[in-house]
Amino acid sequence: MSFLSPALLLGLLAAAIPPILHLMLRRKAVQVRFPALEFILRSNRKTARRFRFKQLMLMVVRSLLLALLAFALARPFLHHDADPAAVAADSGGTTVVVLDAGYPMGYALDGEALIDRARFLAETLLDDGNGMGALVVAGDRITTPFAEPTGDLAAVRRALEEVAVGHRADRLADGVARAYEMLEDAPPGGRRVVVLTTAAGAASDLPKPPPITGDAAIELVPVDVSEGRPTPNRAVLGVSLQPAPEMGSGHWRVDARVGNFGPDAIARLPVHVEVDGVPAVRGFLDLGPGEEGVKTFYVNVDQKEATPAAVVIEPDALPADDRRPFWLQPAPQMRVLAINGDPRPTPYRDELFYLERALSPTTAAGARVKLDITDVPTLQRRDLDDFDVVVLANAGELAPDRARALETFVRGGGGLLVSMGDQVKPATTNQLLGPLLPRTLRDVRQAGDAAASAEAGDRRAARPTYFERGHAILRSIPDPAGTSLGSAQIRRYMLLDPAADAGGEVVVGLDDGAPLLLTRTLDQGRVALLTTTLDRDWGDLPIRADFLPLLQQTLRYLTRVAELDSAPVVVGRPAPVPVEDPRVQRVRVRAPDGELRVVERPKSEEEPWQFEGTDAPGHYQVEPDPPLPGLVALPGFAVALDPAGADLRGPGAKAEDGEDVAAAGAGVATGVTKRTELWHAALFALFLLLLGEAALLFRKRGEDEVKPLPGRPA
Amino acid sequence: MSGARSIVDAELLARLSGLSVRAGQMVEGALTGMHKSPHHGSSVEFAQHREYSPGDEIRHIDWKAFGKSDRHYIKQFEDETNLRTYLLLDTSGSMDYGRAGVPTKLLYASRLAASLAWLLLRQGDAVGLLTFGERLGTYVPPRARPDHFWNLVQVMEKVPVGGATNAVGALEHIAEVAGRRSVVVLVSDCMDFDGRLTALCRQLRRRRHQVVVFHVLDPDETEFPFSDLTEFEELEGGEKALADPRGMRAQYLEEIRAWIDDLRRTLLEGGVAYHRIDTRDPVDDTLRRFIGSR
Repeated sequence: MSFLSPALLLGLLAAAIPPILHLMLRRKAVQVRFPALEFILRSNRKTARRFRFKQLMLMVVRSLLLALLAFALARPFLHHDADPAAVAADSGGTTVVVLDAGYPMGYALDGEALIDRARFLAETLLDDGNGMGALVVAGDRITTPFAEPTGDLAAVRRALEEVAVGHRADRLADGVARAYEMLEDAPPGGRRVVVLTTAAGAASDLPKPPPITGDAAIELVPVDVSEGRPTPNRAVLGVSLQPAPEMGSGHWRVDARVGNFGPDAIARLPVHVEVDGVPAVRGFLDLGPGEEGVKTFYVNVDQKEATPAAVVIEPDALPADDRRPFWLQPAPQMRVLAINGDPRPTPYRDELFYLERALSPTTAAGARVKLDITDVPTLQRRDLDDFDVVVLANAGELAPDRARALETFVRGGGGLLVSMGDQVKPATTNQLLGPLLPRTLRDVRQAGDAAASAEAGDRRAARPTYFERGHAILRSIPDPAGTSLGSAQIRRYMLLDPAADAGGEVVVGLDDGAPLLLTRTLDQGRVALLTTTLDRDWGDLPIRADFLPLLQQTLRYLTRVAELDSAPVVVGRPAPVPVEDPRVQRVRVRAPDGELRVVERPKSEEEPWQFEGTDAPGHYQVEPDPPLPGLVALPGFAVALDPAGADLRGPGAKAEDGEDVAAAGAGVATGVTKRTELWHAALFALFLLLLGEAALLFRKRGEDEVKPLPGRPA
Repeated sequence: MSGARSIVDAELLARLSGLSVRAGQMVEGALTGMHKSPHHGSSVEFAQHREYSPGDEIRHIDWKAFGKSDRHYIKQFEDETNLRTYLLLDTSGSMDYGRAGVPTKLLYASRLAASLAWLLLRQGDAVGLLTFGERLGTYVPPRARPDHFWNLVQVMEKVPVGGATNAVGALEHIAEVAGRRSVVVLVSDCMDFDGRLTALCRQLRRRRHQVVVFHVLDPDETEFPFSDLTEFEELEGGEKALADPRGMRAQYLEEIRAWIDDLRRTLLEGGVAYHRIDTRDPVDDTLRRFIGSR
């Protein structure tokens, strides 16, 4: 127990006044000489005990009266765990109610949504309050119906009625900070921020009040509107997509991560993947209390267009997070023309043997590569516009017109991959393809050639050690140096001329400093140069396991086909719009509710396309504006709820569920307290004591009347 | 406590001038009077001897008997007689109490006794007086002379006040000295009322005396009007008691009511005339009620 005005406790000394007065009055009793003392003594014997008890009670009651008065004036209060009923009992001062309108507040507890409970509590707070009030709604946005605390509490209540649950779960801290700002100019005394939220929200690391002491201090009162009752919830926390070539062409592996945020184990929780609104694959999942589990599905994507899909679990008290959308994108078809400069009768010795394997449908599920192979002489008959990428694999001398055609092709948006080999003559190639190559070719280097490199004199092969991780080709490979690429042995490679102005970018470099893979942009097209062979003539790179993704990503980069990014964007965060076609100047994004918004091409090439209006979960479709003929598909994106909001439990409930709360709850505000003033109760007790004193002093009517005594005639 | 008190009120005596007191039964007297004597025949015939007691006329001593027995005896005669009345006046400390504006119980009792004596003497009856407190006070033998009134008044005005009430002792003394049928008037607050007192009254009654008790009480004693915390001090013994009058008033009134009731009932059962006197009442009214009741 604490006191707002502890100095007034000195008033407790007043409790000694009644005994002192009693003693003084006892000394000052009226002295009367009386004849019939015997009757007084006799009566006194019978009444003295009752009289003394009554006097004692009166003295005690009056002492308590004075003590309680001092106690009440000292304004005692108790600290205890926040309790909605107790919060509602408080009144006075300035109260800013921060109403959590995140999607977890849509949880239905006993058939009543937490947001409705919060709204009722807020109304109760405002009804019982006799001071100023304000409202901050922490939903998808931080909204304040009133710029500053107002005495028009009816208007605040009306604003409360319009509050609806949003789709975000991360605005509560911002709302509390906004409440502090609103209280900056409020009069001191009873400044309070009441946060009506879930148990998890109440225990979260909310911003601390500004460090002001005394009367102007702001009290933060987080209130769990569920009143500590269990709020078990299950949710689809994430979806990841991977090609599943082992299941056949067009198959994807869908890993659905599902969480059980409740005290009870769940057996055989129904989970299914919904494709285009129809359940496609069903399954069950067993989850222990507080556990997360992954259910794997395999989905065959036959459609040539992107298909909206979702992982759905059995609905519970919070249905919003029981569904997680994603796009099932058919892999964009890459039309690749490979020019074999060194065909061999033995397949595995053929220049394109490994390229063909890497791009075959079984290994490149989801890539949808259409590979055409030709040789240098027949290149004349092929129309390059039918292809997205041209691969010059150890191609020797090209016809000049073909070289020009290639340049036109690249500048128009095509992709060109040039790999080296014994057929490549640096001088001729530089002459024909010089405008396309990132750097001019110099000569073939033999790794371990002491004459070429003193450092490599004791080695037989060079190894890739440099990886430009930020490059689009390597973006899907988290740690390229740790993969088999880093252990590839390159025995020979084409040494390039150092050219500072070539515009080339080294993606992979060898340990002797020579580039292994370079790229450059030429107008609207891209060129990649591999300084070694696509077969095993100059090294073992093609047989390394990670050669396959490297090659696929290189081709995707060259064709400017967007990568499949199945990870949904969280509501409220900007979504990257995968637009690679240089012809597209702007796109229209169709939200789940059908609303269309336009996104313009960024002013700088460095800036990514981003869509800011991810206000609701669901499937967002992206269309070029205006539509462009022959445009490769523009993949849409999915927006999902923040899985962090799916766990509504407070630290206490988590501990009961056996979770390591201490470790997980570092920084989480515990011991949230609330102040309950006791002076009301003290005054009530004072009133009761006054009644008691009145009862002790009460005398029956007629008690003073004198009845006629016998023996005296009227 | 002593001091002269003026107990004679000329207006009071004037208001009583038309009244006369009659004995409720036959009485024995020494002089011819208005009351019927139980004895018939000549008026001065010898009846018996009685031992001398202080106050008896010396001329009534039978010197012959003294010569034979060496003891003083008084000769008594049979005749038509006057009323012989003994006034027993309580002068104990408890009688020295009176509410402001109201005479003390002793003053009231003295005025009552004096008025009664004046009435009796005026009609030729003999009146004696015995004052008593804790001990016997002054005894004035009954006389029928008119100037005897002033002897009585002088004694009553100067009688000292104090001590406990001892009505029993006074009655015992009267029982000894009252040889003939007489009227014994006890004016007291009867604070020593107990079985002994009523027994003595009954004994007097059996001896054919008439016994009248004027029970004098102050209105404070019957109404107990105190309110504040009060320390009561007894008038007779000095004992003290601290009491809350409000808290005990009902009990007190109950106690004193029962006491008065018991006293009255006991006396009436013994043939004793009981009159409770409130000191607020005029003396003449009290006497009228007394005379009217006989």
